[in-house]
Amino acid sequence: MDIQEVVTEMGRTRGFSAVLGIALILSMMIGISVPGSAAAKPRVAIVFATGGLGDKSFNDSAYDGMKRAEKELGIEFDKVEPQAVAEYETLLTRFAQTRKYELIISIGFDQADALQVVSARFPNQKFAIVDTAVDAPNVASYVYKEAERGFVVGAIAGLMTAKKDDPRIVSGKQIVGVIGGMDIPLIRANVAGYIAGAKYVNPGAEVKYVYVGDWADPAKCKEMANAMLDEGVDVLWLAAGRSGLGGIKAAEERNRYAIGADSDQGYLAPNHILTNGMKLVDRTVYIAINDVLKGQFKSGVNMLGLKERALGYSKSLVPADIISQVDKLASRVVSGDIVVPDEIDKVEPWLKSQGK
Amino acid sequence: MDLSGDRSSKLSKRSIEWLARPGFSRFMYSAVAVLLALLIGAILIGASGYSVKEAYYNLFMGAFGGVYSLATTVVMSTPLLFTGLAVAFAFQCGLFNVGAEGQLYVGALASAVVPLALGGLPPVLRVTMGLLAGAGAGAAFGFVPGYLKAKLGAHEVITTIMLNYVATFLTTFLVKTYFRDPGPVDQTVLLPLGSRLPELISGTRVSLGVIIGVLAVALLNQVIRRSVLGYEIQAVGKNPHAAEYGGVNVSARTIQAMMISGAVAGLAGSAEAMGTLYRFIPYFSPGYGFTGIAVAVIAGESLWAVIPAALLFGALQSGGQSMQLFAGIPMELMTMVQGLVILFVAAPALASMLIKRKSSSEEGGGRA
Amino acid sequence: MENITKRFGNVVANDAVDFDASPGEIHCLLGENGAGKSTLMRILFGLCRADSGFIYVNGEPATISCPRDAIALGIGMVHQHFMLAERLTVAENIIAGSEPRRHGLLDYERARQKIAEVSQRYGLAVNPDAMVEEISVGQQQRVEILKALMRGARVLILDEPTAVLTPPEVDELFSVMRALRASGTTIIFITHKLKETMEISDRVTVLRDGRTVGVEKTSDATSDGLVEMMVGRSLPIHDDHRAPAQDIISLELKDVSVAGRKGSRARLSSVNLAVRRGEILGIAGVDGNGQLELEEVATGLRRPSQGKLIINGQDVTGFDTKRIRDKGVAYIPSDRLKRGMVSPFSLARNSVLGMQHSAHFSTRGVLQEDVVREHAESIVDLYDVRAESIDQPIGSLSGGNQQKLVVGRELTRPHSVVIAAQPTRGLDVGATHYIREQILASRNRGKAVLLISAELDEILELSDRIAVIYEGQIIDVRRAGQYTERELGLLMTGQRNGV
Repeated sequence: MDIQEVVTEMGRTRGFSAVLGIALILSMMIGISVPGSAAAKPRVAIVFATGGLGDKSFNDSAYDGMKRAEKELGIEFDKVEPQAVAEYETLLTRFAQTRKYELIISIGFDQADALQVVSARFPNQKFAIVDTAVDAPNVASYVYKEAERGFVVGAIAGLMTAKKDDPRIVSGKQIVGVIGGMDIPLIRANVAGYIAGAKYVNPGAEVKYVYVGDWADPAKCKEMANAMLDEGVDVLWLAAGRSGLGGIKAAEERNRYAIGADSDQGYLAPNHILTNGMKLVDRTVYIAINDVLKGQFKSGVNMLGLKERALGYSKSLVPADIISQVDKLASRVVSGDIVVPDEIDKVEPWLKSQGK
Repeated sequence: MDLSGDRSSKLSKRSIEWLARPGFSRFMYSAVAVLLALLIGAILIGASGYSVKEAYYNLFMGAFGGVYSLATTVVMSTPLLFTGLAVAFAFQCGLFNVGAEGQLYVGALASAVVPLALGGLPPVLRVTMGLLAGAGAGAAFGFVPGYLKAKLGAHEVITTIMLNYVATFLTTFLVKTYFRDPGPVDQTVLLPLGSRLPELISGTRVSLGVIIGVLAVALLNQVIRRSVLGYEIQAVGKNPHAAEYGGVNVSARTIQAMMISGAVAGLAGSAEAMGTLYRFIPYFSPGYGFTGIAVAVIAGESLWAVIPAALLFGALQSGGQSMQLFAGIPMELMTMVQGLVILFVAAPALASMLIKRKSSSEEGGGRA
Repeated sequence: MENITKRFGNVVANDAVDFDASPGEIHCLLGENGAGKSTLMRILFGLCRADSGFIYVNGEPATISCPRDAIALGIGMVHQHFMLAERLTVAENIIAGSEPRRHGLLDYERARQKIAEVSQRYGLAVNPDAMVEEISVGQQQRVEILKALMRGARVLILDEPTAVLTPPEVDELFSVMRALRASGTTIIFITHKLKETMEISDRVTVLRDGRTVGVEKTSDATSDGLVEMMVGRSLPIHDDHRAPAQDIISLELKDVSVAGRKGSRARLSSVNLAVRRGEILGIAGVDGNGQLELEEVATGLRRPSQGKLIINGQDVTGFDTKRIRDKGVAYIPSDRLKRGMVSPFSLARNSVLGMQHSAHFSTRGVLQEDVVREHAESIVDLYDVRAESIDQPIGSLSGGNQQKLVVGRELTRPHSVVIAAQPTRGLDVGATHYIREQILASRNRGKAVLLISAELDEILELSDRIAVIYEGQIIDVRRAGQYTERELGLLMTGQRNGV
């Protein structure tokens, strides 16, 4: 008897008993009782961005933050990996409906629409969103002082391009570059910081910048990167989302330095990623949870930067002497001694005011 | 040689009988298959170290426990209702429309853009025009493979698969180039309230789309059962030679069936764009067009059966969410359980369909 | 064979059947399709096992569970569909499975010698070195017979051997059979054709519905008696009241050609035919000589590469099937399953195929279900279609009942021309008789009938005039009475000389 026959037969005469039989086995496996609600530990929920875990970027980093909070802050958490943008609203709603979460965290700017709607529907539930702002009385938005991160990696680039003895500094023209994903304020702030950082430490350095106009066009980005390398750029920062992969590839092929963005992208080109301009989402998530547990939940925009250790750089291939210089510089930003300009137009006047 | 011939004809006869049996036993069969899939899923979940009890409790509650869960099941079923219907309708004409995914994308973009351009019109008209635009765009993307099949004999499976790429890339390109909402995300501008499909139950996103879907099933069912067009489309699907003999314009019916199928798949996109997302977002679909194939295969010959089949998948999706949310089952395990259900419910139906197709072309020899 | 019973599911194929054949006789196993003839012989050859009953060979009880057992007992079988490897030579096919060996190697020479010897003895001339795919169907059949004889068959089962042969080939087969009989071989000849039974057999066993209904010496039997046994009733004689033929041409093909595939000869070349009101023009010919192209051209399913199609005086060349049929063409297609019906559709839906768009059955694009059902009911009544309901799929009916519905549908639609292609192919005697009557009745009502058939009997029985088609050409047209059967047979194989 082939399977079809078996099932057909079951479907015909013994259909009902078959249903009952299998249902019985299932119910024995499941048990009949309803799972009771567990511990009194504070619970937090997190809705990842659609890329899911294993993205080696925001989601993975956020997950690390949750695990740290679990260990150090004594919380329990539930997580979910949406498969489609359309799911965000349902997932947030389902978490909110249970009323058992101290905080529900949304990762990534494409959750803004959904969170706007759901937060209005559950005014007593606290939400947090990372990397974009949602204007609601029960949502804490955590965004970054983008210019500060640009400033740090810009300083590294500016110092590096002056190291004539490094085999990857080939042009000797002291030019560094940055490729942004889109010409929008958020990216412009990064670029402004980058220019400021490079020129602050190396007034003779030249900084070139362009925008891909797309977050997901590595080919176009590679083309632009190659053009920059042709002009003598030694160190190139890719602040362009997935497009950046093309630029990293170009730098690797031409044996120059690339700087990664957001997370540690060293695995893409271990010998050519000089450093990464990091958004430390794990730290951000931890801060968000900590704020809630301490009763310091603050709706509206929460700006995070070097001071909160939510931005930073990876040491990767950076020479020790540069690390110590940059760390000093960073501590001046943290102390408020240096206020990094976040618009490109303001960079030149700012440099002048710093006496450079 | 003779023996194998005997066996396959016996098999096919049995499967025809099976398909011809009344709806109840078909329903019974599906119930057995779902339970069997859940049983194996339970073993896998247990073996992976998760609590089967918790997993299935959440699966059930997530799909049926309470208004919001039920509503979510409906919301998740809505696009599948359309794509399932689209594929099932093409089946009636013997066409395998693998292109519902692409048709959905062009439909969604059209519906997300056209109402914006009609700001001055009253909402009813704006919404209607949005739906028509979605259906029209889908129909246009159905026309191409239909035409290629009818005039050049290009197999629709291949052309529709290729058009899926065209559709997803084309819509992404159009959004980036012409219809982009200023801001960090590639997407169109949010539709204003008067350009959206009204929400039926407030706060659930259950929109008018589901009603339109059920009406579309009813309408196409009537077309198939009662109209000359449906008669001819079915004749082409079941025996194109006989259709030709019966004076049917096989090319025209092929193109029309593909266009209707495309229009319905386009409406799946409209329902998503105008009833759920309120905008177009590139790559928004988690494969509604492909799941629609599974829905259509389960539904088999009956268009009405698309409704319960779509609900089944909607329930799995909606329950699967809860399973992930509250039982911590990783997405992969959840997807696997869904895959098992498709396998058990759809595979025999698919097999018998294939056998039937084969046997109807070979019938001549077998009969005395 | 004693008391053989075989069931397939609920169907009893053989119900306590007794059968015996003596050495050196040609024993005819006669019966309608589905009477259980083939099943009985498949049991004897070990292709299936009886549920109960006994088999004796030469008086000894025998257990036959596979063809090898049967061959060992001296039983050979030639199937309707040959089982030959097309890419091997005749000799290779014959020895396959029982290769003579020398030093473990194939002894091809000895095999050839043996084949030549046996084929000479029985007048079974074949060329042992020819490729099977290159020789004619009749020769392939000889190869099958030789194969059985070489394996020492003393009992030879021939399953409908004449179905695939031309009349001259049938004559040759019969002389081979007589030679075999003379050498003491028993031949069991499965057929449903009466004429052949009367001509060749010594004894006849008639099966009906799985039971033996009679065993007679052929010399004592009459055709009518055998038909009654087969069908279970006597058949009425054709009604011959007819409207006089008129000299008005309803269907005309003028100089029609259909090109073949690149490089091969034309399928039809310069065919001229005219069918008048109230006459049946029969097209005689061996299958595959352009009949299919002829029927398709006449109904618009295929466009001629040259020539004109004229229906009721109007040039309809290049019209599609719908428009041609709407001019009043009823069409019984040669391939019922492929063309004539949609198997999964109900009888009701099939009853309007080709008329679904007519104002009678649909209004504003909606089928009028009541009218359709009424129409189907009336065809089922009028044309004696045996079905449980008009809602069952037509594919579930027997071939004969399917064909009756097709014929009924075509002859009830408004028409002036009937194109009937192989109208009784594969049907049993009862259904064949019935359908032939309907075609005659149609002619008698003044319709112009183009009858295309590979059955010479059918052509002779029904036609007023007969045209012979050979390799795509009409090589002769005469009034029916002006041919002898032998002449027609020769013409059909392209032998114009000697006529």
